[in-house]
Amino acid sequence: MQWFSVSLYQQTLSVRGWKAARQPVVLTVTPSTNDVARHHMAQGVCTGTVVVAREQKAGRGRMERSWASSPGGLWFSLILRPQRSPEQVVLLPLTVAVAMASALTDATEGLPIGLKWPNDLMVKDKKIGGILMERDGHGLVVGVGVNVNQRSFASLLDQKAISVFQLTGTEVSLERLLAGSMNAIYRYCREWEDDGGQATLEAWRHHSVTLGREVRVSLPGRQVKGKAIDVDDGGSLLVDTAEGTVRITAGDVTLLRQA
Amino acid sequence: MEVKADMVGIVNKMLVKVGDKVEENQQVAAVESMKMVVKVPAPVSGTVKEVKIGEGDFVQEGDVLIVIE
Repeated sequence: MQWFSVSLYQQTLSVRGWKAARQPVVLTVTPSTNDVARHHMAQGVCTGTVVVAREQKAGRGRMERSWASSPGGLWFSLILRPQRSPEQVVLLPLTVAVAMASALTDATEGLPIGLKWPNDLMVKDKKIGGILMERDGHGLVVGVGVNVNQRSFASLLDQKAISVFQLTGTEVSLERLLAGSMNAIYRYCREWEDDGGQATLEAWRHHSVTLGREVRVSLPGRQVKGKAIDVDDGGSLLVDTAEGTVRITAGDVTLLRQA
Repeated sequence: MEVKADMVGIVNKMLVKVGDKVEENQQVAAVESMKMVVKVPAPVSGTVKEVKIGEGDFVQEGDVLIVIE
């Protein structure tokens, strides 16, 4: 039995600009949807092509860390070809995070989603979703993972991860959530193209669970501790430390305590 | 020919070592910033003469990653 109903997905999809989005590449098991999407991108497929899998065997997060991707979650990768400079594209991780927060809130009838810099989707200081992008020239693979209908996680992960079902006790249709995610990503990407990302930054600040918090940023060979005070126009995190304001563009951010 | 980072970030992968032969457009490294991993291709075919940066190192935009001759 097919685990994913393309017709149900298409009923909810309202994206008009990406024709390829109407026919998702549906997989049952794959090492990584990003790997499959990258392969499709190399073949020259159109912007809006999306790969979705029931399960990833080798899903990964940043710095090649593994990302548990069991059935019940939403695991997809979207191909975009933004015709913008690297300085502008750098805001897209935040744009997609804002879009995913919006889509998840809509699909769950109001579950508030927080954003940990740059683009972790959080509820109650636990991770409900994450985004990893891979850029090759002008081609971009947007990998998204969301914990949706999982009942539980392995004990180690249980401390850090949470699913929609654990929070609401209700299953969410993965087809409708994928379509809603595509609608939101499309809408926010159009805004990003129109205004260079100003609306993205405002929405990101609105959803942030990082700003105003004490944070520890782990960088190669050193750590930065201080209070996260804002994001700049390039999406970098500004951290107020004893030595002054430090601009963070990469690294792991840990939230230390509630402000 | 110097191969430079086109954005600030952390070197996620260094795929070549001194003496390796590379083809034009072959991926030689990856740099990660704000959870975006950027593939760094070789701009020309040749032999890797220097590797100036290692995995996990922090780079600024314009920093030289490797030198190909």
